[in-house]
Formats: sequence, structure tokens, C-alpha cells
Amino acid sequence: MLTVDDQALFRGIARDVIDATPGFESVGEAASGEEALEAVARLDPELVLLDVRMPGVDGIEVARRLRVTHPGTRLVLISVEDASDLPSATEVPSVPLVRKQDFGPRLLTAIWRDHGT
Amino acid sequence: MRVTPVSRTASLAVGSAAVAMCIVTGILTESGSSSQHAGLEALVRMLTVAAPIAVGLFALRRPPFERFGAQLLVAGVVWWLTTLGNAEDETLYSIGRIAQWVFEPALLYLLLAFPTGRLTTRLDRILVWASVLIVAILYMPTALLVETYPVPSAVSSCTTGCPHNAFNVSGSEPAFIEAVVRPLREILTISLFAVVAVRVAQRLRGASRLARRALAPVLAVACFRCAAFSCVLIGRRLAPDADVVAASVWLLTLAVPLTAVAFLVGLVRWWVFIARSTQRLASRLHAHSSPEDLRVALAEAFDDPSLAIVYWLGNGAGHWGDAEGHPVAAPSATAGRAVTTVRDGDHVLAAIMHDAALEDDRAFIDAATTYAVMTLENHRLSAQTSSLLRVVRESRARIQAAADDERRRIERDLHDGAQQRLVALRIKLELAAERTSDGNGNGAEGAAALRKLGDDVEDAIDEVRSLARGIYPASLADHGLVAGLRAAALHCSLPTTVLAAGVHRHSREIESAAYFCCLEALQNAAKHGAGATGAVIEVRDDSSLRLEVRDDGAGFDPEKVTPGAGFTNMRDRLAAVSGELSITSSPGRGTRVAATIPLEETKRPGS
Repeated sequence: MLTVDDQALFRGIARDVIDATPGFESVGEAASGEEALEAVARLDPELVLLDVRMPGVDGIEVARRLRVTHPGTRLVLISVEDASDLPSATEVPSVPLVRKQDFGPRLLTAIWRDHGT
Repeated sequence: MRVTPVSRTASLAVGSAAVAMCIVTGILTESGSSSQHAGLEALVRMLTVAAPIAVGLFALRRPPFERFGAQLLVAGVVWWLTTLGNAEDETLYSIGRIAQWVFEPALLYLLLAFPTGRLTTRLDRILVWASVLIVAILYMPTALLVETYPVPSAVSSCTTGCPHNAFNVSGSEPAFIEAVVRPLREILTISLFAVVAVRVAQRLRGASRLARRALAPVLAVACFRCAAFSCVLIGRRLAPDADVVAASVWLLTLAVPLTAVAFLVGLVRWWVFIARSTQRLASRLHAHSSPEDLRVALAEAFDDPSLAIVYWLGNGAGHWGDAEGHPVAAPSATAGRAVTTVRDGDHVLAAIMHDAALEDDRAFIDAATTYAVMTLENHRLSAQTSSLLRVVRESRARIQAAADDERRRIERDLHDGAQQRLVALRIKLELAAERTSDGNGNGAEGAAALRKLGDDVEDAIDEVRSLARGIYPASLADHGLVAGLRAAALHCSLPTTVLAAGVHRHSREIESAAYFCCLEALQNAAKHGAGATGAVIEVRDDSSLRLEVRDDGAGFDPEKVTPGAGFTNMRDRLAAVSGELSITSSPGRGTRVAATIPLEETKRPGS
């Protein structure tokens, strides 16, 4: 999976979570929307974890573009804010929004399982 | 040269001297004339002396023509000297004939300098100097060389047996005078007067309506005298005894009083025009004239459609501005344009930029602007108030924008700092809990304790998030007004619907003002709208951004309820972006808060 967040702190934590979750492997990280689009094209990950609030091209815009260019890639938007704070984050079809503070091995496994069904 | 209007006593003295001069002229003409109409002739010559002196005296006492009046008076005295040409005495006769030569440059100067008494162009000065040189080189020296002066002459009645030249020192007249000097000077003199007539016509064409009225009679006599002079000079050479020459000589004599009368008519027309224009201006100006009314009235009075007015805004260190108080460049005279500064006492009120041709009409400009002073002062104060209001509004907008920037920075710092660290801590606790528990019940207590800590951290995250949302919502910053309002609606305790379609992104200042204004209204509805079951926020976006927040709560009587700090905040927020607020409410019928924000700047893409 690919982790996209402008905060190095979160990218580090995400790496720990992926390492601690059996069956998941980090293929790369990106610090901006632009880097994310390039990394997806290059690495072809199966799952992309997208931070919503980033300067420049934000997570919602990256999700919209990837839905078109990589329809088979699983996308998850992630943010400290919840859906009530970011109504527009729930408008990207079939891309769930999860809270950063809920992120962990259990959530990661659940996302994969829900998406697969 | 500044000529002050002469006193009544001085005029009386000059007038008495003029009467004496006329009597001398009458006596000399009647005694020296061999004609059978000597009396009539004396009367006509007295008239030719009286006319320029009388008009000169008239002008001398009437500003702004004192300078021209004085010049005309001097020319009149020179002309009086020419009537000595009727004397039988050789010396007086010779002085009279020489005075005629001196009079020509003086007359030429008057024609070109009317009505201000000043030569305005280089060409005018060249023409006057040319006439002086012709007289100095081709006329004056011949006074020492000739035995007799040419006849017939406009200044002398005698045609045969005239007195000899008293100043002749050469004995016999050199042949080159008759062969070269006389034809040359006559051609040059006629040409010079023709150029002067053309020059006056040219001035007439480029002049203001007022100057045209004054110049027209002068042009007529200039042409007339040029024609008469040509007839005399040419006739004297071809057929000295012809009746047409004698008639032309008399016409040339009469051209002098005619010129004086033309000057008088010009001056009177000038005053009549000024009187009418100022009267019309005064009747058009009243306390409530708009700035454009005033401009049009002055433009018509000055006969200058491009006339413009700027106002001096501020006392002492101020700046120039238009009628709306917008700053403009300081008025300056450019090619063809002149600036008249209007003052009330020592205070500069305004500046009028007008056609430079009107500079001739200084007295009129002064009179007209005096009439307009009150109205100009009213407009100046209005423009100054607009300018100050604009400064206050801009300052308020800057303060509001700075405050919003600060809010956004704090929200961003919370998001990127405290929130991220708390999130990291929360996830680390979860990971630690996973590791502590082996799934078979071992370490379950430790894992539970860690998860309990994680829940506490999550509460802290929620509190920070709520705080950040109140400071500056992420959705407003990142996705604009409608997203911000939708998020606000979701968090509101009152069920709220947001109606918005096709609303564009706008400047941060406008989006912030609109958002916080709606939020304040929504919070009021939730807090004070007892019994309200819901609220609606409607946003429309055309030439202006229109916002409406309405609820079905208890409402209130605006007459009885004093607006609280919330409404004041809304008004202040809106005023910073030139917006307006209206509140409609009545007991039992809910409350409707409507705001309108003008949209001047370009819209930002996206929605």
C-alpha cells in the first residue's frame, strides 16, 4: 500500500501500523497530491491511504482523479476531521472517509475486508 | 506692467487735456484748410482725436482692460500729434507728418494686443517689431533728406502748396528715395497690415466664444483700414489727383475713430456676454446641484465641454480627488489646458481644468467661479466625506482580513501540531495494546488499560478539533462558503438545510464575512428561536452574493428588542466588505436575516 500525507509524523506512524498488520506491505510514501499521482502511476499499489487536507492538490482531488485513471486501486481518505466537518470528502463515490485517530491494524484489516465484499 | 484703475480725478484731468487737444486740432485744421468745408473738416478731425482718447479713458477705468486703455490713450495722443499736419507752420506740419509714421506701429500693436493689452504669441511680437523697424529704417531717416512729404495724406488736408519739410538737411532730395525707398516701404507696410488682418482672423477662429465676440469688430476695422491704406498708397502712385484717392484718404482718416469704436463695441460685447453667462450660471446653481450639474453649468458658461473639476480633499496635507472622493493626480496645465484654482479665503476648494484660450477671460473665470464657490464647497465636503469613509472601510477590511488570517493560521497550527501529535499518540497506544494482548487472554488487562488511555486521547482530539472548527473551519478554508455552511449545518443543534446552487468561490474576505454572518444568525436561531423546528440557509450568487437565514421560531419585535453583540458583529463583518444586513421578524412568525455583499472582484474557480 501507498501512504499519502504531508505530515512526516503520520507517515511514520502509518509505517508502524502496516508493519504490525499481517498481509500488508508498504510500497511507498508521498508527501503531496502531486507526488501521490506520480507514485500511483509508478508503483501501482493495491491500496492508497490519502490524507484529505494537504496544500496544493488535496486528498479529495487526488481520489477523484485516481477513480478515473486507476479504477481498480482501492482508495481510503483519512483525516482528523470527521464527515460532518468535511461534507465534500464524502462526495467521492466508493471512497470511504476514516478518522486518523481510529487508524490501526484492526481498521486496516476491516477496510480491506469491507472493500473486498 | 500692472496698471491700476485710475481715479475719477485723474480721468477728469486727462479728459480736460483731451478737450484742449481737440480744440487745438479744430483751430489748426480750420485755419490751415483751403477747402470750402473747413469747418466740417475741423469737426471731423476733432472727432478722430476724441474717439481713441475717449475709448482709452473708458477702458482705463474698467478692469481688466486698464492696460489696453492706457495703451489706447497713448496711441490717441500720438494720433493727436498727426493733426498738426494741418498747420501752416513748417515745423508743426513736419511733426504732424512724422507722428503719422510713429502712429502706425502703435495701431498695429493695439490691433494685435486687444483686449488684454498683451501680445500673446511670438508671431505677434515679430509683426510689431517688423513695423517698428520699417518705420525706423525706411521712414524716419527720410525726414532729414526730403524737401516735401508725399501727398495726399490722411493726416493733412493740403494737397498742393503744402509746407516744406522743416527737418531737411540735405538740400535736394536723393533720387533713390523716390525710386527705391518709397515703393519698398509702401509694399512692406501694406503687406504687414494684410498679415495683421490674417492674424486677427486666425485668433478669432481659435478663440473662446467670448473672445470671438470681442474680436469680430476689431477684425472688421483691421480689414477696412488695410484696404483703405492700400488704396491710398497705390492711388497716390498711379493717379494722385483721382477722386477715389481723395475718398480713400478720408476713409483712412476715419479708420482711426472707427477702430476706436470697434474696440469699444468689442469691450461692451465682452461685458454683456459675461453678464449673461454669469446670470445664467447663477440661476442654474443651487444648493442641491449635483457635481455633474455644476460641471455642465460651468462648461456651458465657459463654452468648454471638456471642462473638468477636481476637489482638494483634506485640510493642509490633503490630496486631490474627484466628486466621489477617489484620489486623482494633481491638476497641472498642459498643452492647450489651463488650471484655475478656486479658493474661499485662504482655503483651496477645487481646481477647474479648462481650455487655455479662456485665459484671456480671467475676469470672467473669476466671476463665474465666485458664483460657484458655495456649490463647490458643498461638493468638496461631500467628496471629502466619501474619501474618509472609504479610508475607514478599507482600514476595517484590512483589520478583519488580518484577524481572519490569524484565525486560519491558528487553526492550521492546531491541525498540523497538537492534533497530529495526539493522533500519533492514539495510534501508538492502539499498537501497544495489540502487542500487549496475544489474543489468548494474556495481557488483556494491560491492553484494556492502554485502550482506555487511547479513549482519553481521543476525547482530547475531539476537543481540539471542536476548538479549531470554531476558530476557522477547515471546510471553509479548503472548500469555500457552501462547504463551510454545510459543515456548520451538520453541527447545529437545530435541523438546518443549506440551499445553494451554482455558488462560486469568492475572495477570502467575502467568504469569511458571509460564513461568520450566517453562523451568527444560525446560532441565534438555535439559541433564541424558542420552538424552532428547523432553519434554512439560502445562498444565491449573481451580481451580488445574497444570504438568507430563516427559522420558524418564536421571532421577536424588532421595535422592542435591542440588537445584541451578535447583530453588531454581523453588521461589522458585512460592512468590511461593503455588505448590508436586514433583519425581519415578528412575534410568532420566525426570523429572517438577509445579507447582500456586492461582488466586484473576479470570482475564484471551483465551488
